[in-house]
Amino acid sequence: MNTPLNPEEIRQLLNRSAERIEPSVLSKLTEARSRALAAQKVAAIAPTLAGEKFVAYFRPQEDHRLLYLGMALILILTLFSSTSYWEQISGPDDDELDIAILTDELPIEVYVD
Amino acid sequence: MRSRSHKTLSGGILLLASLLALPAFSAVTPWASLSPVQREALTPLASQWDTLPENQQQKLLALTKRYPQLTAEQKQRMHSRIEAWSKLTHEQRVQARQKYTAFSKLPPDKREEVKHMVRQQEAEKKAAANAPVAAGEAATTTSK
Repeated sequence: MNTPLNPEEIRQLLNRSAERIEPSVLSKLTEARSRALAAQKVAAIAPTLAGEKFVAYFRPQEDHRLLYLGMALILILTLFSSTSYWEQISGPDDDELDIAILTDELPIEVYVD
Repeated sequence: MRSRSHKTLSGGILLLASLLALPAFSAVTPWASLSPVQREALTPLASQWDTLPENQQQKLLALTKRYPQLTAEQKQRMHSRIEAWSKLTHEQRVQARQKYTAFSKLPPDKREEVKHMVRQQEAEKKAAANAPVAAGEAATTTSK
C-alpha cells in the first residue's frame, strides 16, 4: 500500500534526484528553464486591454503602464470623436425636414430660439 | 494563449474604433469639385464652403438632392436661409425639426392663424425699420 506523500517529502525527493543528475543534463535543464521563463515573460507583457467577460482592465506592469494608458487614451478619443461625428450626421428623414424648414412659408427664426 | 486572445481583442477594438472614426477624419469636399446643381443650391455658402467641416458639408450636400424639384420661390427661400441654417448648432437644428414637426401636426386653420400672426409681425418690423428713413425723407421735403 502506497502512503500518500506530503509536499515536503516530494520536495526532498526531488532534491535528492536532482543531486544525482549528471552536470551536462542539469545544465541543459537549466537552459530549458531559462528559455521557458523568457518566453513566459514575453507573453506576459503583451498589451492587455480586455479580460474575462470582456471587462476592460489594466494589468499593472511598471514597464508598460504608459503604453496601456496611451492605448486607452487613443481609444477613448477615437470613440468620442467618432460618436460626435455620427451624431452630427442625420438620416434621410432629417434631410426632408431640413429642406422643408428651409423652404417653408415661415422664416426659420420661428423654429429656432 | 490568453495573452494572444487579449492581443487579438485589443487589436480588434482599436480597428473597430479606427473604422468608426475614419469618416470623422476624412477630407473636405472642395467647392470646385461640386456639381453645377450643388453649386447653385449652395451659392450663398460659396466663399466659406472650403472652410466648413466635412460632416457639415455632407449634411448640406444632402439637402441639395431635392433642390432641382423646388419651385423658384422655394429656391429663393432656401438661398436666403441656408447660411443662417449652416451656422446653427446641432442642438438648435434638432429643436427646429421638433418645432416644425409639432407645427405640421396642428389643424390647418390653427396653422394659418399662426402664419397670419407671423406675417403681421414681420410687416410691423419692416414698417418700424423703414419709419426713420421715411421720417427723414418727409422732413427733407418740408424744409425745401
